[in-house]
Amino acid sequence: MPDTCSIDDPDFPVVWRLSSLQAGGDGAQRDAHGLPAPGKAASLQTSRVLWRAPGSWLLIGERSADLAAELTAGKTRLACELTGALGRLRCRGPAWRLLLQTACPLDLQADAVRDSCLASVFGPFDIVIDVLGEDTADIYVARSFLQDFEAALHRALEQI
Amino acid sequence: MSGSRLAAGGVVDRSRPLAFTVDGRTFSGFAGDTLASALLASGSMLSGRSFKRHRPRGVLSAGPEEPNALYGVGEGGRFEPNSRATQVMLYDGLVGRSQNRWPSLESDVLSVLDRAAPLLPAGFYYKTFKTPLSAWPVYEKVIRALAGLGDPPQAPDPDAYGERFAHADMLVIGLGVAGLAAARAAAEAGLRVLAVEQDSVAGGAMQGAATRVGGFSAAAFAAEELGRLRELGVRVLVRTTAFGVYDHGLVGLVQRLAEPGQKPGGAISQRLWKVRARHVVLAAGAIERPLVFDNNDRPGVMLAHAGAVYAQRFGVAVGQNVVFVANHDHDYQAVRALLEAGIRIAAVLDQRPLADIGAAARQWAAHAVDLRSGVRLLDARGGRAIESIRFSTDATPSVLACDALLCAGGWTPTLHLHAQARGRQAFDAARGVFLPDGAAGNLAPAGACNGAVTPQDCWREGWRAAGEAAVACGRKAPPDPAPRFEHECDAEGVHAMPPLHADRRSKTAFVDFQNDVTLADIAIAHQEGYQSVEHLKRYTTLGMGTDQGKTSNLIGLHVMAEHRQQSPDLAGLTTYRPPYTPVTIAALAHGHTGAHLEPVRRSPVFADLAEAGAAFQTSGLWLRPRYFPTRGETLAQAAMREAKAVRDCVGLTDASTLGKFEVAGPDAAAFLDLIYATGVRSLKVGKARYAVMLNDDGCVFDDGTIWRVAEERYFVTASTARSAAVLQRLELFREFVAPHSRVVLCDVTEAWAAFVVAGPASRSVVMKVLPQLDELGPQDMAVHQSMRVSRISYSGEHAYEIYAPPATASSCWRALLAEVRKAGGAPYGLEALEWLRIEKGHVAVGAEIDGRTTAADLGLHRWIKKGVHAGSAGASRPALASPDRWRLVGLRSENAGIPEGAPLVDEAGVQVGRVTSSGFGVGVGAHIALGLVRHGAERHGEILTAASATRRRNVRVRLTQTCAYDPEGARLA
Repeated sequence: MPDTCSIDDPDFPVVWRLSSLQAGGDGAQRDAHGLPAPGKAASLQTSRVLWRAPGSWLLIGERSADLAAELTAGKTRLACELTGALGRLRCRGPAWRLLLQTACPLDLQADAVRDSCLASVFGPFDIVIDVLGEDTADIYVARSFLQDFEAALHRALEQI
Repeated sequence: MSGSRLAAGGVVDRSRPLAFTVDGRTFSGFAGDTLASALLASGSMLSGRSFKRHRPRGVLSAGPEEPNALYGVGEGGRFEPNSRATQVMLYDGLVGRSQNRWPSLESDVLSVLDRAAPLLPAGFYYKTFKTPLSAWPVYEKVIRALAGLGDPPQAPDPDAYGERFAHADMLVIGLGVAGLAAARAAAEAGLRVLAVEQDSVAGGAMQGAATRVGGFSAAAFAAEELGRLRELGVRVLVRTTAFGVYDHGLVGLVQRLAEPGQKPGGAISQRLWKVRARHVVLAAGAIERPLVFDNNDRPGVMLAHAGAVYAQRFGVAVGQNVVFVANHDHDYQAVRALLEAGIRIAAVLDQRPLADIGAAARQWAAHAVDLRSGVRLLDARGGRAIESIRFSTDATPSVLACDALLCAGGWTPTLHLHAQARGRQAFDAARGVFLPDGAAGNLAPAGACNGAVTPQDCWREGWRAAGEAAVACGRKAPPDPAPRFEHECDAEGVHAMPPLHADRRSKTAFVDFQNDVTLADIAIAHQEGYQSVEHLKRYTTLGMGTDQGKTSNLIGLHVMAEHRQQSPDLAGLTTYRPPYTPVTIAALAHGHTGAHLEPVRRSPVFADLAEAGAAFQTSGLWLRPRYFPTRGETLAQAAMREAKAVRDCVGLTDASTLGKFEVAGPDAAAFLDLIYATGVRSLKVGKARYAVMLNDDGCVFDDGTIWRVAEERYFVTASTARSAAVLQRLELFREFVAPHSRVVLCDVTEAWAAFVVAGPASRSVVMKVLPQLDELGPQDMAVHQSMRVSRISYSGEHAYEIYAPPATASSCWRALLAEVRKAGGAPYGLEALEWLRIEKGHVAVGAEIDGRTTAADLGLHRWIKKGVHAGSAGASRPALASPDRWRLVGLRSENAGIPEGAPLVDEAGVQVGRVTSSGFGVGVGAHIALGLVRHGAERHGEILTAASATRRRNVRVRLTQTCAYDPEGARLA
């Protein structure tokens, strides 16, 4: 079934943004805490952690406030809550790359491997793709765009 | 000429007959036919009328270069004009309509224009319609009625269109021999290959060849290679045109999943592909040129190769009495193809001396009834179809009856995409043609577009180009299987321009068939100084239209070069712009139409706002409530009621669209103090402050509020309109101006809903919903449960700004609205908000903050701190302190609305300012406005006129102080 894909109903996960106070990030400490490298995502404790920019990550999950507190204890980073700011749509099925390829310019066949975190666009929408596995990816979009983004994704589903 | 279906041959599926109509007449064809081949097989030779002179025209070619046989195809919203019959694949029920004729193709009234041709030389319209000037409206009406090619569809397109991005190690454009070789070589090397072909089948020029490959027919060989590509994992797209090469190697493709006018079998009709490949092999082939002689446009005069394609691919004889005109040996392949298909060739006329004709060519010509050499082609005779030709081999002209004339005028390599990729083309003087001067970036030409002629050479070039790309990708070039192509004719002279025997001032020797450009037109252009190829194109329309000069440009260039007595390479080529062939607007828009034109941003309480009866307006991408009409109220009535509710009782509005940022860290205060012109360091925890941000030029950039949430944490708001720009500016300063600051920025716009409760009863409403909230004084802020609340007012009333997380936003809004309504208040929208802030003299981005006004202009100087901050250097420029600058004033009219944007003129009629925003002051009971007026601060009490030319209204206004309502601020307490 190479062309199948489904889209789960959206949800609004608990999100914290973790930012380094140091310009350009804090590589050594990042490694020590298991934070993902640029372009990557990782599962840390019960949270999903997505690299967003040098020295900046998103912590996603119900317990991410705790993780944020832990990771900011050294006072080299600060956290800011973004819960509700991002809508999440989970795409399941082997054709999820094909679905996104209708409006996303990235080379998903080559670059969207497990635990990669890709910031891109889907048509006019800024999106972040968290590749959970070969057949599953979470797509994050700003809450205010979610309704139109979801509609666009479903329209794209019809054409693949 | 009378075409017919051959008893056998071709690759059409004769077991699948298809019925179609053209101009109401029913025809039949077979699956695999094009509209052109089916019409030719049905003996229908008249295919169109020329653009200007309405001369009868027939099918000239068998490909995308077709200038004549253009049809409107389909019905209703699926109608597609200017469809090339040579490219439309036949389907059952196809409905075609000929174009550019009235009342019928056979009897076109406007064919009278052909008789008036001597009066209509190139550029006549530039000279003719100038005088008398008063007659231009009449001219325009007539010209507009006559102009244009084809009609637009009259109903909305019911079909969906798709888009897809694709990446590949190699993109192969064109699946002729070179393309097939390149795709196979790349795939065998292990590259990720995307191969596209504009036709429905592979093979390119081999479709018209009688060539055999390893014992197989050309068609069978191409089909087998195509199958092999698919087995090797090549993504093959047929009916897909590479229409343009854009910046950074982006290649645009349009894939047809349904033919023009056809209901798509799947979800979409066409798909736009945007492809980025590490390497591109351009195997776009070459296009045969027509011969130029008098009346060379008669229906039945056709390109030689096209005649062969109709015979070999479609099993169609383009005539029963065919005459073939040759100029080089290679085109005797077409002679062979026709003869092998069983078509009688009455004569082969070669323009060369007999000694120049090769042995193999002569051998095939011997199968024809007659071979003449040293021929000068003089004229084609007939009306709606060719009946005979006049030619000479000596001083005496001869006439030869025929119903089809196949002309071999030489081949032009297809350079469009190479040129668009910024490749250079060089003139090959020996061949008389432009050829690619090497690769264009990652795009390597191969095969006929690169000057190769024989299939063997094309295969070799394609394989080599792909092999080189494979090596560049770190792979090994695979060995070339080198299939053996039978090829018996010499390739010499294939590209050369044949001698022109026609009079250079002939008005019936056509160079550009679609635009009726003749040798005479080129001569006139030369005579009048339009000698550059670009000028020639514009002056004569040579090379314009749907075919973009595919068959005509090089001939026109040679003719002009001859007039200029210089080599064609000095004349150069016109610019090759995309698209290579016409692309429907729908394919480019691919669904971004109507409601899908651009996305909409919705507040977290959008559904609640709609439930409350909001009438929305777009504000940037946001949908915001403009007013909440009840019982059929107009905008003005609703805004009046809502503004009164705020002034007299309480109102509630959604401000979630405001930009919101969190700025935190040990250096947060210093950072904000640097970027904001308003002092931030002195702001205490638990307090909020209005703040102004300047641009680098010293003008006001934005205004908003800054809340000190904690010792090292600030909450910053920005206007909805400038939200993104403010964030950009904050990030710019963070990265480049203060890179060592220990500060983090976070855009929290989406993380907070925002509501404003304003009016005398606002306190009681807020306290009922948030009973535990501490008493807040002006500019106080508090974090309450998960919310943030502040006493800040934009309306001039006692007001609260309440920020709630999206998860609780709806319940918060509902609770507040219920209490507001219980108190006798109402929700209010942007219109009432506008009236309230104007009455209070508060400025807004876009109206007063327009990028040209300073803080002093707007009366905001008290918010500007001393010392260095962003924009302080720009603000210190003397020009910005000039007393002549326009300053903010209030405006009042007792009896008429003040037109927004209107110039303000004094009694002498001199403009001294303009109205920036206007509304009705419910607090003062008058029409009010804000404006910028020269020396405004000193002119209070003066009367000016707001003169709106667009609204045809002049309103007398009195200048006042900016704050018309409660200037002491007593209501804020």
